[in-house]
Amino acid sequence: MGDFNITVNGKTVPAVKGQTVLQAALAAGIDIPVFCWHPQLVPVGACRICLVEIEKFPKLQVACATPAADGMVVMTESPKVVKARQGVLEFILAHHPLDCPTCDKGGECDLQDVTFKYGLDYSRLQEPKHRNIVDENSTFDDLQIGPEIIRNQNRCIHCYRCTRIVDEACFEDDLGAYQRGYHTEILPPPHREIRNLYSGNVVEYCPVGALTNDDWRYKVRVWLTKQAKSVCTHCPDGCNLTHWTFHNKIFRATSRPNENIDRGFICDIGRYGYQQVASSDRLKQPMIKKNGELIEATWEEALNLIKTQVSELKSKLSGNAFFGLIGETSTNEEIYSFQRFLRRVIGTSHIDSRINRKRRLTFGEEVTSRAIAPDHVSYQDIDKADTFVVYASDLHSENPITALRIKRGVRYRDAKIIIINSRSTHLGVRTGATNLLHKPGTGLAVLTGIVDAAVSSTTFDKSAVGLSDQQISEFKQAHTELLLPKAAAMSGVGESDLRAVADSLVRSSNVVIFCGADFSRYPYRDEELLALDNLRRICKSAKLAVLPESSNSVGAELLGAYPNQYPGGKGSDAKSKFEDLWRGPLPDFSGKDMIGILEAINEDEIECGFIFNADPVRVFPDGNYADAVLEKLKLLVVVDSFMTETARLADVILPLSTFAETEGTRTNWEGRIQYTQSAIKPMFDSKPGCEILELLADRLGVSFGQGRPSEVYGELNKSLGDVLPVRYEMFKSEGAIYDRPKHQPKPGFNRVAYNAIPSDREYPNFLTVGNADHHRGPNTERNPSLLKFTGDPFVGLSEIDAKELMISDGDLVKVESRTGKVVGNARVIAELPGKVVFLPENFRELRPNLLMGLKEKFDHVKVTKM
Amino acid sequence: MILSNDTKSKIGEYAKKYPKVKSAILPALHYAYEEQGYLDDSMYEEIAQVLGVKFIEVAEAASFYTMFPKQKRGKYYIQVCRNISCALLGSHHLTQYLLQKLGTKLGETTKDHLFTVVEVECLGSCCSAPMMQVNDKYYENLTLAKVDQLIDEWRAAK
Amino acid sequence: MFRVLKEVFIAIPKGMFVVFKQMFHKPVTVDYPFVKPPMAPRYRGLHFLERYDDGSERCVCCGLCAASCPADAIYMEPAETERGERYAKIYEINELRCIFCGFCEEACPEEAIFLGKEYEFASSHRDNFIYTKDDLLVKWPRTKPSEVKFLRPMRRVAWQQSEEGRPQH
Repeated sequence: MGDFNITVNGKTVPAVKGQTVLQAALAAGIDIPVFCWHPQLVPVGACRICLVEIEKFPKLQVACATPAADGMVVMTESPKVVKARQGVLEFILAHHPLDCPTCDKGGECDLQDVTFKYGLDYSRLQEPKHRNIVDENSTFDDLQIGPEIIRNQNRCIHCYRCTRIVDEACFEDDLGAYQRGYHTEILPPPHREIRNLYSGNVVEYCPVGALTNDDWRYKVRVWLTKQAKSVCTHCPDGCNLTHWTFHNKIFRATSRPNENIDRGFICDIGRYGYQQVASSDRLKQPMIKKNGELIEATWEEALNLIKTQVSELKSKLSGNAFFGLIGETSTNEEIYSFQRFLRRVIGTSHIDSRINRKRRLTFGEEVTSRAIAPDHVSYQDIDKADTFVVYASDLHSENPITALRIKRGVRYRDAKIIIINSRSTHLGVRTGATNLLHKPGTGLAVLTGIVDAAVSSTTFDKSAVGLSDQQISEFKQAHTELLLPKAAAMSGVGESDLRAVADSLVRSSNVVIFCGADFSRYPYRDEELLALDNLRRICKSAKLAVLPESSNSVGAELLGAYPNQYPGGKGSDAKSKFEDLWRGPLPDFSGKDMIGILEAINEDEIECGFIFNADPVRVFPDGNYADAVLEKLKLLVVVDSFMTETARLADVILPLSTFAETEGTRTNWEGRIQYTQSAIKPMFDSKPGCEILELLADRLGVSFGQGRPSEVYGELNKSLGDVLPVRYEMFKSEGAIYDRPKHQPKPGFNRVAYNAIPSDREYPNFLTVGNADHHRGPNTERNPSLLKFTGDPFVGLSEIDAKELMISDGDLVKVESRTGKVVGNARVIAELPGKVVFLPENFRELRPNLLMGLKEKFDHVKVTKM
Repeated sequence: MILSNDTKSKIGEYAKKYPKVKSAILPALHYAYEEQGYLDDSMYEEIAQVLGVKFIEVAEAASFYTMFPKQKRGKYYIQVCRNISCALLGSHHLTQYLLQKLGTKLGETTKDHLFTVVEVECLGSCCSAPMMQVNDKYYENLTLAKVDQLIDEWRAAK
Repeated sequence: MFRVLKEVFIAIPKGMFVVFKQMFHKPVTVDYPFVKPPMAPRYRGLHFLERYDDGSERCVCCGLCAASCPADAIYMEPAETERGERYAKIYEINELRCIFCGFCEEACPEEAIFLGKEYEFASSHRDNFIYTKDDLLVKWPRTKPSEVKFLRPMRRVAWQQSEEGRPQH
């Protein structure tokens, strides 16, 4: 309950100290019209439509900016208020064109709704409406101000929501309000466009049609559409989306505000990422390879072929001659069905979902990492923290909404950000972040150096963090090579910087440490995790969040997409339980991981495979090797939505429905399981994953009778111990969090082993892989809107290297390594440190995994001008 | 580099007076305007760099006010108030008369680079309407005859 | 007996009187295919889409006619011209579904769609009753003057230019 009560329209409403009248009223379900107010922004009171009458106030007050006080008596619909709102509307409409029939906002326009409720049906103003002329010869005043955003200044009601979202919430600087009065113009700075990663939000939150979207422009009227509740699949943030569909086609995606996750802001990748559903690349029909060529076939033909071939192979060989790979963007249900299909029907435990890692995975690795990181970090922890450490992650492009939460902390709580990375990332820009830019591969030295700086400091209070002198001296003895002067020299970070960071970490009361996708690719992942754990020990209160790579990586871990785990993270002792559940024998617990599988194929131990919604040829860190090895298989069944590099090698391709056509649940990085509806019916001849897996299982003689995701979900829930909501309909906005067992960390510091990377004379540059602007992962290039932001694929070069090699923007360059080469246009990136070459992983033409060698710890490359 | 180092250091000094640097944008614009007589995007950029604020914040503030013209204006920058008191007492006619007499258009400079006429928002001298501000000086209770006289004076003075 | 006589001598002449009376009246029916009956001024027949006086289409494809249509007979897809105008790329009315209520005409904010006096659109194929934009738009140049009295006869020039023009400086 609230701190005190106020009375709104005769109803007693609880209010919290610091709340405004508007917030208290909205929380109690009393509607007050607003234009300029947004829950995530500081109120400005620019539009005056939320005027309310408050007793003992001589004049009407704006509800959005008046703090609620004990005993306030508020009237929101009194005759005086209604008359005032009429007046406000009359002024707003004085210069607002009546072009609702052609306006894209028509039907969902705040101004339309409020005018309908309060407005007069005539205007007393005779003056001509002000017109902001873009082109003297045209009567159309639309101006393209960004790749996806069109502005019509005439419709603007000067609420400044857009500029405040860009500045206040997103820390960007590409939209502003120029001039004043009705001359006010919303414009990006001269010679620039609005193209930040969150730019779509300004359209969504424009209360009128002043900012509209190119993507949605003149396509369909909003009242004709149906809405589907969906969850974004492009990153593990798990933002809630609404898909707007009409005649089985998606027309746009908007945010579905969820207080626990996105708070109403989504990034452009999620917003335009739906376009790949209708991509020309989609697989429309099953395909069968005949004489080296893929030929379209029917489902019946394809399934029969799989049946005969698999039965034949299975009668000759054991289940160990099969393997399965699943992509981490699949739903929980698909992952569960897939591993069940492989374990129960095929009889193999060669299952993996971590297809883009170079490191040999040790058994129980993920479990160990949880033991080091037992914290269930959630978005709520971000709101409490006062210092953030972002290690080896381009958080801005990998987890945009997490980055937005952090930025919010910086804006309203003066939180600090410490970024430790070998390349400069966008998050550091303008948030006043401390940027520790180290040499590639020396992250361990930086982390250990910080710990050393902290424990060596005279002001360090050991007892506050529960450390003993002995533990500290043990730490120093164990890491003689990584202590401070050496660590600074090795990593190229200033010693004073390390000391300053250590100092601020020790003084912070609440720290959240993030490590991201770059980190998972690093060869020293285990050691780094231990070093991060050491970093955590010096803080009073710190939580460590290991951010996964894909939208459902956590789900894949949870639901047994790993060779050594059953659903629920259960080990081999749960075998009999699952034999009961799946009514049949299961194979031994000796599966191989991704690298092991490829080796086994190379040695002809494995001859048949199922690849579900994954593209190892494209992302495995040795593309040529993966390509050559998968070619050797006798039978490769690929289930995918798109014609991928791996699908080209397949003997049978089964078309899979995309995320928009499949219902199910997904798990975001917090471990929050959320339900997503299917927006449209499966397009072409594709089928949802669960149905395909059921069909395959049925053909191969074991029918589970669970072709629908809801049926699979029932069993999935049972296997996890019935802790999730019983049915899909019971999912609420907070989703469900599956509590993994907590591990008690052992006292003292971990020991970190580190070998310096030998430099390579022949191939002097380091290859770093990341995301291009407005892209994430390998699938986003199928969205035309996102391509507008990035343009062509590029090879990112630092200014120093570019100067040395006499390369300028746009030159054709060749990037070579010991294993391969790629050719692309150079782009000079100012923020990149010397000797680092950046390749985006988002483009098919420029696959960085062609340059990677499985045997090499670090990818050394050479750049030459062509 | 358009702004002189002197101005830049003055701006830097001034910014220290405020708890938030953003507050120093307007004084900074004044300094830059005093030096150059006009302000354009490159100067905004420099001010933003000196103060450590975003370009757009400077541009927004500068475009809000009428006293920071973007082009070089004439020697006499005539700003006629167009708000209600002056408007009721005929500021519109005054502007038209001025434009006709000087043979120029609103916002444009005469060929001899002497005069620029613009209309501005209230200058806070409503009691003596109609009025105009020429450079930094107010001319109040204007009549057409008075304007004639003033212009002749300025023309003679050059 | 008396009844029979009554029928013969009274009823027959009475009936014949009516017949002979009508023979000298103007007939109620018309010789239909050759002569057309006059229509009520507010008769609602086949739809047509109007044009502006410069020949451009009035319809902007706002979708209000389709939204107001109780029979769900109207389908449309908007698109953008090179100049940035919104127009109807596809505009179809299924005249078999249409109940000729006239709501589309009422809803139209652009005075584009009207229900005319045309009622002769029989066909032997159901498909022929889906009237596309080509069928619905009035021919240009007009063969006969428009029968509609527009509230806004001229093409809308968005707004008058404000007198000050653009802001100074």
